Amino acid sequence: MATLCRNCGNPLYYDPVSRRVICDACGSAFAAESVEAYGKELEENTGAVKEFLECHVYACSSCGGEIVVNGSEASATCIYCGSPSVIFSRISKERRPDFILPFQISKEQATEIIRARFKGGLFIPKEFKNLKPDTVRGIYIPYWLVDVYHAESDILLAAPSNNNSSNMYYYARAGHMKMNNLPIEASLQLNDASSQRLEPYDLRKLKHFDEEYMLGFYSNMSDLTFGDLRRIVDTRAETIFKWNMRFKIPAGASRKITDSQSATLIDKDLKYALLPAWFVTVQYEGKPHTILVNGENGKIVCGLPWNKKLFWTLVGLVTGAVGCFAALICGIIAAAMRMGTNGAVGAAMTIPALLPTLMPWLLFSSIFLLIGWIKYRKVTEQTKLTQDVDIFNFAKKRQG
Amino acid sequence: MDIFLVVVISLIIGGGIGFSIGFFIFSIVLNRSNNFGDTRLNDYAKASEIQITYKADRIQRDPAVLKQHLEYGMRDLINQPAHRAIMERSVKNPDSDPVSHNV
Repeated sequence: MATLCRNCGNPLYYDPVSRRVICDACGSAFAAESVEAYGKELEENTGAVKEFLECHVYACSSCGGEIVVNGSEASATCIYCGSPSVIFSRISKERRPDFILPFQISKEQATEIIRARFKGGLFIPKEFKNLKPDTVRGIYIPYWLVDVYHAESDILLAAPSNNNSSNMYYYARAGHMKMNNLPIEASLQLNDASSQRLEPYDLRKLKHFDEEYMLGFYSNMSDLTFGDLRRIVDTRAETIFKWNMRFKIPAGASRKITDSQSATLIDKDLKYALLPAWFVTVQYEGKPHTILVNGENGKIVCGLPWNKKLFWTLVGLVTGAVGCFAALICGIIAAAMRMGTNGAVGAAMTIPALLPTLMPWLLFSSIFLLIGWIKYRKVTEQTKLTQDVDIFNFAKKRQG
Repeated sequence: MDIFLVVVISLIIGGGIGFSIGFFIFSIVLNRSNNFGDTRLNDYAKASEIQITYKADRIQRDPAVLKQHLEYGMRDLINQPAHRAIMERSVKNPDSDPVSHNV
């Protein structure tokens, strides 16, 4: 339900810039913690009007219009009067979040951050540089903050870094890792690959949960089971442990884990928090692209389609320039050798004579090609995430 | 004709080298220009106050020794008081239980 201004009776919104709950109509501003969500008793009567499949219909306390929310939404906006509504009954039925990280960045600031970052991109299409978003939705994403203990024993095959020979040796490595407040995104509807890229959030800015921070924003509640939580924590703890341990034995570049055993424990004191993100949707070439912005620090998460014509033209120019330069140099050397020796033999000897010089270049160019391919793949993978229909639908389902 | 052949071959080889250099340079530029928000695993260390304790030893190349070290290492870890203490405090709910109902 909407929280109304005690001075004029109009709906209140949480403003990330002033960090206060404000009324657009009369200009009143209140500290979020001090705003009484009056009318909660009224909501008890008008709360769940009817339930249909996975959609729940609530009556807007401001205009009486019906607000449709899906199975895990906790706050929405009335499509008739635009009042920001918080479904208090949903929050009280499920576990109430312990903490909330209020939006620190307003909708306008999020759009400006995107425009500023896109402005200098060489391959970014002009439609993104002159960003005109279709929709910008502020959504609180549910997270579990978990304390994790991970124990792992590994056998590695590695070449010692101080060993000049190619001998490989086996190493036994055993260790344990403690992590506090590892954020685990708790909405199955949102793609984990995208939500993980939104991290890290500065958890020192967490506040004790108060519904007033949600006014004007959308939110989801956790729909994870303990099975899901264990699976996600196991994978992430193992990845983080291996990443942090990668240089902990005195080995050179070559190291391979041949056998591994691990155990991951999750402390039962789970903290439930809502963390902020802006979902900015842009249509480009008939496809929706969802750009995510961390609502706390403005970190942008997206992969943009690129100007392919410009990219391949520039690659082609370098190809042509280096090719012509090589042909010119080799042609001159061949002509010189022809004059110096007996004609055709001299020219035919040019390429074999240059092979020792060419070999390092061929080796380097293979490495360049591999690194280039890895970078290219990163952009294409990230672009697929930005065009992901699930993320688009996650934001689209929110009314308004 | 022979010089022409040298020029053509060097044009092809030079073009190949040029392509890999061009592709390398502009893929890096493309990645910086169009890819936003790659999370580095280092970030978790800062955000989640990671503490790691470990030991590592060089061992013999013998399947029985490898297995023994793997199992001994794990047994040693789970017998530590820290592991036991957190095991008592760890979540034991069935997999199908929604986490949000855990009040």
